[in-house]
Amino acid sequence: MNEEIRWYGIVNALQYFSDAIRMLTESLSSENTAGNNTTETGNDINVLDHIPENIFESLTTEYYEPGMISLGQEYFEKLLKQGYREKIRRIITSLYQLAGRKRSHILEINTIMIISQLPYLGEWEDILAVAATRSPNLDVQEAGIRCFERWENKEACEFLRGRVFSEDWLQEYADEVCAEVLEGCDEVVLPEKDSITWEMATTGSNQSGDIERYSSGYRDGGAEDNGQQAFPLAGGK
Amino acid sequence: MAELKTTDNKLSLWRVENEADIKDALVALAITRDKISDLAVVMIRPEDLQELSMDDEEGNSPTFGINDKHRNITNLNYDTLGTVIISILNGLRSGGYKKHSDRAIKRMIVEAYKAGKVDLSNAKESMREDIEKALQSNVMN
Repeated sequence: MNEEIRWYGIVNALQYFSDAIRMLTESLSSENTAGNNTTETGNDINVLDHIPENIFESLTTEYYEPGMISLGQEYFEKLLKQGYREKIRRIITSLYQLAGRKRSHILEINTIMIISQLPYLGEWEDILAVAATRSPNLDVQEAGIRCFERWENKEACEFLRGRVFSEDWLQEYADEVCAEVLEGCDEVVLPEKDSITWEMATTGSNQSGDIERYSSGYRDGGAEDNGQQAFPLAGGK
Repeated sequence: MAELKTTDNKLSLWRVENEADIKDALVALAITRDKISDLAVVMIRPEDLQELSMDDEEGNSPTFGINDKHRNITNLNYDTLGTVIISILNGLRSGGYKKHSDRAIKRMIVEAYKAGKVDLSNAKESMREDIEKALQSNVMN
């Protein structure tokens, strides 16, 4: 009996050992892939040959902050001032492709946000913005819409018109942008929602879609508030 | 209204009582950033903050007439952060959430500037450039 247990124990130990080896090799393999930021095709550029490592690091690890100029944005604005438009196009498109290959939503969002802050040239940026609006990631979709909002270009915004989004809050955002840019509406009044459903965000602030955004204005003290409205209305419904 | 960045375990709030206060607070929040950008805000009820320690440190925004409405939640720790989160969720549940677009924020800042409520000398250069562009833009006319 003891011998059986010993053999069973050894077999289990070997199993765990092989699992550990497998996990370790998989981990090493993914590290190697992560470290390989070069592209394989002849048409792409090696991104790290063209942008400083700290900029790349920032683009791949730091979440976009509205209203704040990121290192990446500073860098590309500098390139633009120096007249390197073609270089910007090649780097940005390579970064976007890299983001898709690595499934890095941070890089994808940061790249799209940089495009949104650059002047609209009508050459290649709208294609990336449209691609962003079709991303499975909701934050990336939002970033795509933001491009059309910031460019304030009617021709570009035609790409957004009629686009259907699966999330109500994104659809409202896109509709507002279209109304503002295409129709010149300063104040956009959207249909009031009948009910609000909430899902708690379980991880981090970037899990968009987990909290439904009621963007129709500040609510009046209703039955749910038991009349305990602390703040007077601010253009609410 | 709060911007969710803490400094020295303090979270900055603006006490608002009417629409004018809200606009002033939005401008105060927006104008301290690098660029004009969209701003999402959540309204928090004072009663949800009763358990928390607060001070009334005056704000240092370049917006006049709002800095005395600035408050800090102080001594934030793991427990009190939970209270803050719940108060934010309560604000969300009661519909006290709004995202103001780039254009809306730009309009508010320009209106505040034209009304003499903003001292741009304390704003960042990149923000001043954005405001100057907005002033020249036909959209704002």
